[in-house]
Amino acid sequence: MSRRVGFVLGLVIALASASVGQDPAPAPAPGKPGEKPKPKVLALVGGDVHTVSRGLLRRATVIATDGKLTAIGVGLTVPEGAETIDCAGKHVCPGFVAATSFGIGIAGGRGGKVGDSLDPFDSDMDLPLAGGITAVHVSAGGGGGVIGGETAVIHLAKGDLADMLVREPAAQYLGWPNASATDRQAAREGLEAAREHVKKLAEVEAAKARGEKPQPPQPDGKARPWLPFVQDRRLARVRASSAGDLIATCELAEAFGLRVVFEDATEAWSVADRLARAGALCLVSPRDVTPSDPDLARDSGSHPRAPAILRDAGVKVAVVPGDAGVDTGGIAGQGVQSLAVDAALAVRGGLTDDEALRAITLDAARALGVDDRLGSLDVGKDADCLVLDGAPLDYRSYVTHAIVAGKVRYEKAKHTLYGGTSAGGASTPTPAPGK
Amino acid sequence: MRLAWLAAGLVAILAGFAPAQDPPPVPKPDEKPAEKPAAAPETAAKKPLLVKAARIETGSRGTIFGGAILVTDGKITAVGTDVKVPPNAEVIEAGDGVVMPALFATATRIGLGGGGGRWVDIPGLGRVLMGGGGGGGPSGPHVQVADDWEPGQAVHRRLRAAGIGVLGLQPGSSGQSGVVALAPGTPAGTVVSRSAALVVRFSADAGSKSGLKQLLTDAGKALEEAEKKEREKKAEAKAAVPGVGPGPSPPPAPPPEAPPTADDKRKAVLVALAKGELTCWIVVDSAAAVAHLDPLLDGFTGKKFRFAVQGGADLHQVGALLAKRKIPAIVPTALATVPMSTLLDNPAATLARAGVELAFLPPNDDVNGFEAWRDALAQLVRAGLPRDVALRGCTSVPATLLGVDKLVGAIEAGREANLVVCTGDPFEATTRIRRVILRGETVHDEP
Repeated sequence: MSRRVGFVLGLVIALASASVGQDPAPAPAPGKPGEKPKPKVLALVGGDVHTVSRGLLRRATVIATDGKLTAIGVGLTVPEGAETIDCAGKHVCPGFVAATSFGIGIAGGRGGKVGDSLDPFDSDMDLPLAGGITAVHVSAGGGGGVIGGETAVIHLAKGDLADMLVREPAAQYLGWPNASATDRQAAREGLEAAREHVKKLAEVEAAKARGEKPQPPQPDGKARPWLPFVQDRRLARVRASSAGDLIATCELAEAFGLRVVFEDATEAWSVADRLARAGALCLVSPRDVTPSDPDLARDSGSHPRAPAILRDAGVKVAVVPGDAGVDTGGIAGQGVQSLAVDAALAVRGGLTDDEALRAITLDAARALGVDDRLGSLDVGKDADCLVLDGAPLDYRSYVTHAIVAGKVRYEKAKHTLYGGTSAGGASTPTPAPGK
Repeated sequence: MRLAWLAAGLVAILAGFAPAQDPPPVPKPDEKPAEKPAAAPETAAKKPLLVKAARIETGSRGTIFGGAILVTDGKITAVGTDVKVPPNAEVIEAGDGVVMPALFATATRIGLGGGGGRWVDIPGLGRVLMGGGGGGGPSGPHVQVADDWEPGQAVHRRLRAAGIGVLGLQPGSSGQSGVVALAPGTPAGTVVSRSAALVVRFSADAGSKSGLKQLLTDAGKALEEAEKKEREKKAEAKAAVPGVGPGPSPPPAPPPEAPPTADDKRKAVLVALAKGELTCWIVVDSAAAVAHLDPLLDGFTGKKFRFAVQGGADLHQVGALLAKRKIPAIVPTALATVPMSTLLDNPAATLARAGVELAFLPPNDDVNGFEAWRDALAQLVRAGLPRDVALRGCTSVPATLLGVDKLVGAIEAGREANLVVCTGDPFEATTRIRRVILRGETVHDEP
């Protein structure tokens, strides 16, 4: 491909991506009719702020206005009329993102858009919020073949329907490893056709730049279903656990320039270099420990060292909850209650604290295709944050406030969940200012 | 319209002369050959009735102490402390007792059989409920559940003894609700309203949303059409007045009105909906559905629709939303628990505090549920629901929501005389029902 066509192709893809998927407008703050509504301001003052993108800010303030982060820093002035939470001695970090789905926040049967079936009063939201999870992946269902169903990302914005939907569609399932030979053949043809179409688009743009008036190309039936992946660079979500499936999908991804995220990538660590070359993202669960199969000639199984091995190879890793259950049983309540514990297990396996925190915040958001909105404390992103009474990955820490889209949705002191147990929690001593 | 009734009368008379094909239905003594619109039943001229009680809970305007109720020809003609007693009146002395309106079963399918069941005459067996058992029966704005009404069943006797006087019949899926009196009478004679509300089922999904949007949009269009026709008619009539109008030639006579078609009937329902004369009764399966209903209704602000939402024990979570739109709620008479706790919750009290008008459903839609209804309401009052909200929610509020508040539901002059005489406060567990009077007749009496 000539450099010029490559550049124009890149431009076309960038422009196309910019117009993909309208996110829903955030709910405006109510006010008197005719008058501009007063902004709703929330300030978290004086805590140790883990931004995830720019490191730790000690004794800093986070300010959110109308559901978005508007200021993060030390020595900020809190605007008048703001709701303030005193975070002295506490930690503030972005809300955790659960990159696997739990069926939370959806009413009744599916079929149709996730946005039409959201349930803002689902009482199953309380446990994940208490565990620090503020956004979750939702599978919209449908699509059984190679081209699977679309996925969405929702806020656990308890009580506010308008604040719940973050993005739909956010990604799309690609049923590659289990596809039959004929389906794979058809898929390759479709991808080829889509790639041809994108090339033609690039040529049209180049012709326009030269001042010509070319005919816009029409995508044929084969290409059309693949355009979101090839033209819009939509994330392809693939269920591939074994090394063989992972490699096969990587080959497809590289051949057609697909962005891939692997769900339940148990053996990803054993093919880490291959995944790094393909630029794939992996969802791993460090809690899963499976011994290597002695009958196989290669390494298999999974263990907590997996995220560190992947990191060393340069693969982006998101840590997901061990199971999709919402309950209070098991170790610290399995599943959604203990995502921080899963991240801590990754530290046991070799990640740094910062990398492990990023694996359940920004990299998880990236794996869902919403890292422009969630996953770190940066101005302009959604105001999803946690106030904890200790370091985020410390096993004794509790979430004291879970803030989603700028509103407090869970407050430990007001909730019945921990009412019968002791407060627990320990604060990391912070050095005196000036040190 | 007159022509239509004349035609119907003619047809009825001719039918009487036509050769019988099926065995004729068992003739009922007070049934007339020609169809009459639902009206008050014929009661033989009876003596006026005076009910005196230490306390009268009117159900709409509070409590009257030491007053009396005068009943003439099945209707309440006077209520108060200074009621003039006609010389020939029969007097019922309730003494220390309390008189309250007979209860209004807000939305029930008791005695209607599982959706779609119809009453048929079987020679040798009499009238039997056949069919049904699923699917909710036919549905659509034209369906009237009053078609399935069959009075005189054994359940009705037990309901009367429990103090229920009026049933708000609800269609199995969607259609028009009906209001019927539990007083003795014929099916036609006991129907109070055939078109009391339009029931629509709504859940959090795209199909429900587009269905409701279409219904409300169609209603708006039907109203516009009807108003346009009215204007055109008026313009024609004006042009027909002598001296006003273009030429000396006499205008043509207006064409005779044709009898209403099914489409006309449907349009009439839509027009009544758009004018706010017929309540749009939305049955939701969760509070989430109401959260999805809210933005949908934004598209119809400024229109005259009257809404009511019937839901379950989680409806209090959208109390603020309902109060903001002034939408009344129909809720079960039940307490709940706060999720993941052993804390008791009173969803009805929460809604009342938020300013939502409430109508109640019994704990279950069966005889046991109705017999326990008073006690269940008492538990809500004990847990913080204001007493008058409880009382109005089973009497006058359902009557208002179903458009029959001028006819039943409260102890006020002009309404049907549906009274329950109790030995004490209706919410006290020790209180018994002494007597139940429906349309002026004693239908239940303590031995």
